[in-house]
Amino acid sequence: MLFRSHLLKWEARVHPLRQLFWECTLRCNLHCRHCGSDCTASALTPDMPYEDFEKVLLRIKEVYDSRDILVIFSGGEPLMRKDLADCGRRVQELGFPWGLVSNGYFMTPQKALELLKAGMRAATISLDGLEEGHDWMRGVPGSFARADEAIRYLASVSFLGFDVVTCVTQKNFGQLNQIKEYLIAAEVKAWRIFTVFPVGRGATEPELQLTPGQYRELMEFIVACRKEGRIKASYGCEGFLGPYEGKVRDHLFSCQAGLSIASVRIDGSISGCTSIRSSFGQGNIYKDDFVDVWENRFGIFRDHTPFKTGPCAACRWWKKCQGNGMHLRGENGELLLCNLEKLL
Amino acid sequence: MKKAFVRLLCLLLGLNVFTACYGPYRGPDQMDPEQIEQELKDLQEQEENQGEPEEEPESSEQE
Repeated sequence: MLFRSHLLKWEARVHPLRQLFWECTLRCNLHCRHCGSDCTASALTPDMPYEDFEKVLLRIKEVYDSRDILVIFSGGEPLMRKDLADCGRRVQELGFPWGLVSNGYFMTPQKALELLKAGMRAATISLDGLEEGHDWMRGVPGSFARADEAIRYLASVSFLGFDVVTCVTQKNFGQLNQIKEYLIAAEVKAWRIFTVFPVGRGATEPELQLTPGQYRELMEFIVACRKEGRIKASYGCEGFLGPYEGKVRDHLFSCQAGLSIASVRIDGSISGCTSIRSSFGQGNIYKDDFVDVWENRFGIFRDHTPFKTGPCAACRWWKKCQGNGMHLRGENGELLLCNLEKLL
Repeated sequence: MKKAFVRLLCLLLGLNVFTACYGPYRGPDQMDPEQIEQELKDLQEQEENQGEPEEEPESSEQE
């Protein structure tokens, strides 16, 4: 794209906050093989009290238009919190639209209705296969049935921004067409596909990673889905894709962490998105002013030049890729994964 | 109007400032609040007609 590098610099300078993740709990009822955060049912770290997060929202509201910022409850599994609907209601009262990312296990129709009444306007449910494959991946029998119920219910709500997210691995790679047909039958409009990145449990099970051949096939599958038009398939933010840029997403790749996306982690640390290593934390809500941090820090998120080392140093795609997604970097900024290598 | 123009411009230029990246995408902006209210009422009626008990997570107390 002509002048794209200039536009990216402009975007970094303007950095309009559009999505704010709140890692409201680390507790999770499932035991997913690919989990990047190693959650457990009784995490040692306590949930963050809503009042602590609300102080951040009140401060943000003083400076920005709250209607422009989507607050997303993430975890862990956010529905492990009994007070989630109350939290949502209070977020809505402050004028912020809100949504959540969930495994769907506790998203019964009753719970979904309670959340919708509390102002939920966006939701993502994870589904990693049909019954056998999903339950295997999620580590708990019956997970598919629960996710299925949640998906069918939420897909029927016209005012909800709803999508299903699927992690593609060796296990479900051969079932993509069946999963697609299932989602279409469930009247799901949007399907976001991603692949495992080597962090948390995802790093210890290399068989979850696709081979380069499978990865290319996956890209072709998404391209074909998009051409077919029966469901809006797209690839998640797992980095720059070279020849597939513009073909598998609605936009060209740029890591939005720190440009339009921020997060408040369970310990109060302020970062880009919740998948990024903790060493990239830019401050903490318990000692820093969020708006000051958002406006004046986040330097590495807005200028990736220090990442131009190792395999990126001489890469001909640097200008367009800008060092890949921030969550694909290790504690010291080293590149953990470059999916583009699988496509060249 | 100005916001819509900037949004359109960004989309045309390939910038994803206004689109979801990792989390869910926003619901429709222009939805009529009355229409939402009516749909919620319909969902409530549907729920009351079915009347199944709700299941809560076992360990959902805030720690």
